[in-house]
Amino acid sequence: MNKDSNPPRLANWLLIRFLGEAQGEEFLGDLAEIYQDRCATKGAFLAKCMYWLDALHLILGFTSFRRNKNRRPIMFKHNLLLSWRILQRDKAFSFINISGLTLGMMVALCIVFWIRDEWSYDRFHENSDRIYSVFRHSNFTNEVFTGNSIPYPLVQTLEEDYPEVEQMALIRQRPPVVLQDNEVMSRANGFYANDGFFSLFSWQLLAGEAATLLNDPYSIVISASLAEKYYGSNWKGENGAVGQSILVNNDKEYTVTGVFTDVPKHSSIQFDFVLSIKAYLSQARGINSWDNSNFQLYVQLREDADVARVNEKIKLVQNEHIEGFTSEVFLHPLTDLHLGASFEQGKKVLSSMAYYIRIFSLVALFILLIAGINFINLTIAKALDRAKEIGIRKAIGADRMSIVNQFTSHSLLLVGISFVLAIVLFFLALPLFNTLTGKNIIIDSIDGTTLLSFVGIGGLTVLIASLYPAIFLSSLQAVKVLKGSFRLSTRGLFARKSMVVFQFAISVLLIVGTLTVYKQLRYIQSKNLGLDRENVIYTFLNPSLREKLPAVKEELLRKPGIQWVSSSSQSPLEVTSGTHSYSWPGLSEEGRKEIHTLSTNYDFLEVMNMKVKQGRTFNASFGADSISYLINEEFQRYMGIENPIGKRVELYGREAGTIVGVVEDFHMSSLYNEIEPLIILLRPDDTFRLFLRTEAGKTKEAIASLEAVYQDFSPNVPFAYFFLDEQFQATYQSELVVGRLAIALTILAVLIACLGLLGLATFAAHQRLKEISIRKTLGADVGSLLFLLSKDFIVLVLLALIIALPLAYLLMRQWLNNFAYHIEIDFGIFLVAASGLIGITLLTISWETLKVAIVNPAKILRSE
Amino acid sequence: MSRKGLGEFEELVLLAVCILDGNAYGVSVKEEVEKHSGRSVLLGAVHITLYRLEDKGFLSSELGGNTAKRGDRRKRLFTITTLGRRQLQSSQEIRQSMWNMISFLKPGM
Repeated sequence: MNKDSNPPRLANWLLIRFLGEAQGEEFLGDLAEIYQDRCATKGAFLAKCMYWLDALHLILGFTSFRRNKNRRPIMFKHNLLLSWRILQRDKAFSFINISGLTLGMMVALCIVFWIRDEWSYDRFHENSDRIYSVFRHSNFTNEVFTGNSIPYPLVQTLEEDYPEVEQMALIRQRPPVVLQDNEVMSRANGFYANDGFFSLFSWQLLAGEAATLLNDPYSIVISASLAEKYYGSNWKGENGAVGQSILVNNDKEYTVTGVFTDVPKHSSIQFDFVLSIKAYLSQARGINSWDNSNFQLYVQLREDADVARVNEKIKLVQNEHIEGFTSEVFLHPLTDLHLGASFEQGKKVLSSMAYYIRIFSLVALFILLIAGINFINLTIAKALDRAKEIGIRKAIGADRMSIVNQFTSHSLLLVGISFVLAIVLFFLALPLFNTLTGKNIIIDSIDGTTLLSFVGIGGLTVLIASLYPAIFLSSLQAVKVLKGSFRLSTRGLFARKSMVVFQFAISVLLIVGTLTVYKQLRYIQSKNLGLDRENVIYTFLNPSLREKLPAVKEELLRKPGIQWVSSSSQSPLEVTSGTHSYSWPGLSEEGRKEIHTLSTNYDFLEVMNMKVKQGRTFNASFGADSISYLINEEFQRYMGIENPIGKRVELYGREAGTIVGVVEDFHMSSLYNEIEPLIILLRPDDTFRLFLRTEAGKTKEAIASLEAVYQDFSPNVPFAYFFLDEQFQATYQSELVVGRLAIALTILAVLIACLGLLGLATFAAHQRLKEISIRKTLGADVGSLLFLLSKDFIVLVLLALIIALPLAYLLMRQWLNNFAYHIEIDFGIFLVAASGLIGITLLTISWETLKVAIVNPAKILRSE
Repeated sequence: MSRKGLGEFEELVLLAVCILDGNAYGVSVKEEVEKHSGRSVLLGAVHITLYRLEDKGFLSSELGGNTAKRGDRRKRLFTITTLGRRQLQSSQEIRQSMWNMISFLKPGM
């Protein structure tokens, strides 16, 4: 027999591997016999193929046949019973295991649903994968701005030269308006849009004809809640909403042509009403210029269109039409608007939400890992008690698979129980989680993805928790175990110790992270902004108020509770308007940057409590202050002169104004950004917000006064007021959410890690019960015993600290650098985290070890 | 013990075991079934059926009879049990009684 004619050895090996030596013998015999015959009649190759076929058939047939028929049900029942008894025998261990896993899975579920919620933005549109928002990088001297404003002529270009574009939705934003119908009046948000707006997007229409909605130049489509407000709950019926007319901003009558379901929260485009863009287009001036980017444009590409190609083609479309200006037009996917529309200097950057989502997914995974590690460590520690049982099982013929099965089914039972508990807890904790994150996650129906998330997390946990113990324990050698010489291998020990280190390292990272985030948040709250945001309320000026501004001001100051009154074009906490059109004698063109401008009324500095560093503030008694400017310190630095008072600055290419004062720097945007050069103008006619400084503690009176004056001067406009400090808080909403979430997760992580430690310490203490008793009889005191038992764990915690602290330092430095103004990394925090963790560890350990250390040694030694 | 049914292939295998009378194991049964039925049969199918019949109590088996051709591996030799024989007989009787009731299929016609 030559070598070639031997049957395939791999097939033999597989067969024995799966069916065992005993059965393998007879099958292989049969196979060999047939093989010989086939070799003779059909040739070696075909015989080999058929050998494989037969072998695989036997393996498949018999693995399912034998197991199912004979062993499974009995062993399964046996395993289940055993697991149940083990659970009951050691309630403390079961509790630690189950509660750890439950918490871990609950956290994971919360985070998964949070991510799903963030991810689901704008996906409800039917063709959301083909809809793009037209974006533009525009280059200024040394800055690149990215936004979704585009010039109107682009629409025509797309229509004519881009067959890839199926349809377009054109939007022209406008400030909030007042809608009025007979008696009912309210402030609402909306914009002008073209016909495409309702066909490209999938807004749900409740009334009206989709095709002709915005045909009429003076048509308006309103949301269901607006319709209900104006026309009552039966707005759908006869004399309902459609066909009625609404007065917009006390100016033009619009006819309601349709009603849509309120815009879902998960939409980046939010509005209460839509006006036909036709009238606007026919009246607006200068919209046909390429240099006037006031519109937003959404396009839907054909199914076969290639976005990359369109992007390549459209890139320089604006530049051909404007001299000395470069921009780069591109299509941004609609579904990426919520999380991905973040740019810096023309480069896409991770938006802060996307960044936090990543971090928290990682944290959730870590918490799940920590819980899983607890489970692994405890199961193994516990199973060493069962080493004898395993030894006996093996000795009387259990194979490795059956032991693996036994342990896996035990793990599965525990994970199963925890899983059910986690889901229950998750539903209970959902309202709390919603308040923490400011979300409104509701699980009203169990759809595919929900189920998948549940199953995914369950499966992941099973994988983490049950695989290692089963494999590890089944590998124990029966003889060694039964002989009593059984010891944990050093490799296994190392693995388990590194897992504990890992747990604590993660805990340290989380503690340091949370403390730093909190310190930074507190820093933001307490940072001297250069203005006093407390006790300031504001409202928006409407045309009738602005007309009589001096009278309004006078009237307000006469009312109780109001200290100062002023107005400005923008909130001082959010100055966005700026210009490149300025000059002064001696200004060098090099490094020229955008300066910001803010138009104000008299007394603005007094309302804001801003300090004058040099010169004076605007004052009516000086007369012609309309050509006087105030600048901030940054502007002075930018000018580079000691005494800017009296210097002249030319703005917008018009008559130069004189600098009369320097204002102390104040933060005119979030602390993520640097303070920039700012010039403050006295232009009462250009102001849109009315600011009041109220007397401390008299906010209520002040609001009442404001409302009275407001209604006196503009009776047809609904009154609304806002607090400046609330606006400030809103800027840091995501940081606040992150801070709260971080605290909650850290507490959970540390709690779970401690649960695991408690279990391990208990086990270690019990294992060494005899040793401790002997030590005690020989005169060891409780303190030294405590030290003895804690030593090992403290070493692990120290190791974790050594690993985690530098890592925490690097990560936190990176995070803080996002803020232009931030705290320095505080080593006190590291100290707090380290000592806190050691303290918690000691506390956890001594809980159990103390019990062991004070037990009467005679009781333990007696039984020997 | 309740009476268990006999599938068509099971019956063929059982009959083959009877024919082979003491020399019935995987390969020989496979060949016997192939010889009489004229169709080709997978070895695995034969083995599974043999084991299933043993589980049902129609067959018993023992190991023995190594040959060089098998690489000196033993074979599992199956023999029919009383229960198996009774089962075969009863299924034969049922068929026969049904056959007898069909006039145009009477033997000899």
